Amino acid sequence: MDLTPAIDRWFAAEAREVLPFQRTAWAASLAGRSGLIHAPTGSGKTLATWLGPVQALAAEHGASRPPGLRVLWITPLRALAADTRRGLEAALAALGLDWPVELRSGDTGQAARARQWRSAPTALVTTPESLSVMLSSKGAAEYFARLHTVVVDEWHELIGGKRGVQLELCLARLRALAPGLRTWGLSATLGNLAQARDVLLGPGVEGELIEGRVPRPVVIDALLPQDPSRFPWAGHLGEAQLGAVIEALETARSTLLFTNTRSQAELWHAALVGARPDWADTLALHHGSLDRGLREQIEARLAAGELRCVVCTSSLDLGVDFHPVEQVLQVGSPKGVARLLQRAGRSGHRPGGVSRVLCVPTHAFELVEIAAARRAAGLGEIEARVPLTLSLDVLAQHVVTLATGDGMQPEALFEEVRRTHAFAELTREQWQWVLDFVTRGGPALAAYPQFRKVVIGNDGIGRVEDTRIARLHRMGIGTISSDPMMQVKWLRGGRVGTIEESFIARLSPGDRFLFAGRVVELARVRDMVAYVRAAKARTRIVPRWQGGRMPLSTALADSVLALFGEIPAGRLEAPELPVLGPMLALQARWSRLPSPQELLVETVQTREGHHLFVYPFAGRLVHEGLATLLAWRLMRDAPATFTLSVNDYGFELLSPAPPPLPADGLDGLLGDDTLLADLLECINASEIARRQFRDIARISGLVFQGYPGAQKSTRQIQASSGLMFDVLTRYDEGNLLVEQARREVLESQLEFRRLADTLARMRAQRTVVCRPVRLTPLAFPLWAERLQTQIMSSEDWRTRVLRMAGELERAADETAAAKARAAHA
Amino acid sequence: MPEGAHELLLDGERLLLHPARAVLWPAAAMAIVADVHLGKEGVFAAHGMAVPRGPSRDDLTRLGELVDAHACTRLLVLGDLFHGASGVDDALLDAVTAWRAARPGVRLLAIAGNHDRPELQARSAGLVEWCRDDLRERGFAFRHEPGVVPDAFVLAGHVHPVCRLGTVGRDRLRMPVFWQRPGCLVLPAFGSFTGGWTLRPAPEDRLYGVGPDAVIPLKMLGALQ
Repeated sequence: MDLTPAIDRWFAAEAREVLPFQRTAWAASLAGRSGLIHAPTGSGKTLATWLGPVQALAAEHGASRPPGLRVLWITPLRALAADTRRGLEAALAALGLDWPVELRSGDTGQAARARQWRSAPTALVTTPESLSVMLSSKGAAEYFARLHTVVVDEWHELIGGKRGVQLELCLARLRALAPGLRTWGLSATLGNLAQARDVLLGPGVEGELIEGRVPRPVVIDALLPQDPSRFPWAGHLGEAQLGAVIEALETARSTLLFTNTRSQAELWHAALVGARPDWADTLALHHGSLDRGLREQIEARLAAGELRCVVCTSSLDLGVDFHPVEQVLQVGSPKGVARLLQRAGRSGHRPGGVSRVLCVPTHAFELVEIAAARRAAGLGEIEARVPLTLSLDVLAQHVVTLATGDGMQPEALFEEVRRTHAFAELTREQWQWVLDFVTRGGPALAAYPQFRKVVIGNDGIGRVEDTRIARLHRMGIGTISSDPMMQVKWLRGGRVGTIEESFIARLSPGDRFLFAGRVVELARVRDMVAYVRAAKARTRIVPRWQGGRMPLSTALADSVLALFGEIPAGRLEAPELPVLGPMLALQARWSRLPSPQELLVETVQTREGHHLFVYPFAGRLVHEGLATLLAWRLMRDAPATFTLSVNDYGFELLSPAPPPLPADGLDGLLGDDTLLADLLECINASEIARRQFRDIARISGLVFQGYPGAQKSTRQIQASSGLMFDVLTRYDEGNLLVEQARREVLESQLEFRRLADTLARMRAQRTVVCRPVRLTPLAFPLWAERLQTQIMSSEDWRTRVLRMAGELERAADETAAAKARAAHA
Repeated sequence: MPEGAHELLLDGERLLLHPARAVLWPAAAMAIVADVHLGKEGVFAAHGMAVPRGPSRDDLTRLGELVDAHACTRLLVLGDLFHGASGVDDALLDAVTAWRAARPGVRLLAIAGNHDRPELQARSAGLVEWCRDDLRERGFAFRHEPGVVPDAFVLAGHVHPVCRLGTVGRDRLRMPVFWQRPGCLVLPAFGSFTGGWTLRPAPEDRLYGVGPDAVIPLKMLGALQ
């Protein structure tokens, strides 16, 4: 059956036209080709992908239901799955096709899954993790054998991380099960679209790269403070901007207010409700830790146009169109160009609309970042998302996944995984190590007779025979990183959401905090559930969720540096400049302005100790590497202890004693002749690799985290990844996962190449050491926002303990003295 | 006094807090440890988690060194000598047997902790003298879980106490501690494959931090955290 007339009638009835890129995509799909479509949200890319296989199947089967599962639609967020399913179903209904489309995610009940497994729908919408779980089930080979097309939605969200690697492996499996399978990806704009396509399709496969409708123009504005001279360079959360934000909210029917962290979202929601109690019913909060039911209610009310404003995080970055949204606000640094464009795109979905985002800076330097984002967007400098390679933790998980399902044949699987971009360079030795890891518990431990994760049978097929291990493995599938999470419930019943266990652990019953837009009081903790009750008093205590912080993207950091270079020459014509003036003048008066020709170094002494600030403007990741390297080189010669903090502009080394700086400044410390060797030693001397090991341990199945409420039955096998790292480092020297942690640190954390380039640039600059009497505008954000500090020390344990104990003693004495004074007064 | 140890006088009895995460009671020629968790890596392996062998053997060696160096005639484990049945295989029991054979004059006593299931006690009955909770000797009561016993000073384990020293943004350290509360001393976990529970000391508590080669009393606990 030819669907073309039906499609034309449908489009005509809705007064739409078939877009050229949609026709191109359909034709390519019908010709049996694969590819990547990049187009903004709401531009018709779903239909461009969906109607290709639908036409092919109708040509084959007419209107009758094609047997078996034919289209698999993978979406990175569970929240998007339901909406996607509705979209696919609507198209089928409009074309008169009565084919079932179903949903499968972690939320799908046992009974529904079993039914789907017995009788496959024509199309299934699912997540990468659920796909892995399906591949870990018996009968997967048969289930996927008739697959015609696999669609990966929002591929740009997946490609840069380990979820992307996991999906590459699953796609390779699907291609082996269903020869001739077409793969189609959908992506927002990226700096490396062609590579994104190649990674999706696997090396050596030719595919299409189809550009969707030209994106709407994006306007990036900044909410400039009315009195520039009073704009805080050391401000907090930009609540000074509250009045102006409220004015902006008054102008639009519906606004999305994005923040960068869940904590900020809670605080902004509380501030808005406090300032406008009359809006309380139309102000909502949306972030990833809230209970799914709550989130869905808010999404429904937003879609219905009932909400004036939703304060949200990246939880609303993707997918679903909310047509009533007229305005998008971004609080705090945009962090990345692509991300800001994506958020801007959440407004003005109507055809011909302009996407506009109003950025609300929370301190003065964010004005620079906003201007830099506008500049980069104008020049088309969009971030690339670099695909990961050789993530052996993900490979180990995948091998066990397949062994849990229909079994895996090692030789065939080696060839199969080498057909992915991630493992194209996998060596035999690495593969053997992974096999040993899952079949014998690692090469160093042939002595475990009872190690039976994957058992290779007489037929040469590896299987997981122990049902308990299979169950544990299925629970652990997934590569999204997170801390152990605790459920939060009302004392009187009902779920509120989830919070990192580490936050709850710091609270005592009776402590209050902001959560889900309410002030709640911790009542008690039982079996990994925190019970709370509503409280009246105000509080500013907010859970600090892990993972909410993100570094400025490289593209944006480069753009910031370029802007700084233009400021002194008066070539910067951004509207933000007049506001920045006073702050820059202060920086110049107290210290000096950074410039491309000079490396600015500041030393300051405070009650905390001796601070050394260095500003290379190379982005947070490089700064982390530089800070570690410098600390290590400084303390190599003389015992010292440093606390390291970094941000996107520079880094800080704090020490209790004056740092042993060479008389000639930093030059002697910036050499790169022993760089690689020094970095490797740094990694061993610092906490970085141990930290990096966290995800690796979980993904590879070395630590078991379970999920909220599941911990009780698995208490016997709880160990922190840090402890695991120490044990492996000590008892299994050649462990490739430990090595992978070091490699990941070197390649992605420390960005070795960029670090070498930065060192070279710093050596070429003239070092200027300033000694301001107090923290400068550049130094303050580093000091105030110490996020993830790292300690490096070459002092002995006893010295450090005695010093810290002495500090605590002095602090206690001062408190006691203050109390005594207060009592006398 | 052994190097790095800290002396504690309790009701006239002299105890030494040893950096090996042990208490020495010289008057009774006794070494006391808590939470050894032998066989923990084996339990993980039995669940398909590839932890290398090594920690248990190391811990046995360290126990031997402790007992030998201080001429103890008794080693008392305050519970959780073993981690779980699936991790205690013949090789591990053989190692314990060899440990005993090398020290014919040393008794190995253990209070049954929550991890020492009856099955494990039965399998190791010839190697370990299993004792009930509240073992009494002179003024002391030896238990697995911390608590208060009338007319006795309690020595216990179970919670793996750890303390965090320092402040955000400055130097910080996390270390196992001896945790002294009124009427009770809680020992740090002895096992090298054990985690810790970060405690929040009450004002009347005292902590003794354990470093690589010394035990140091930590004062001013009210200022912690």
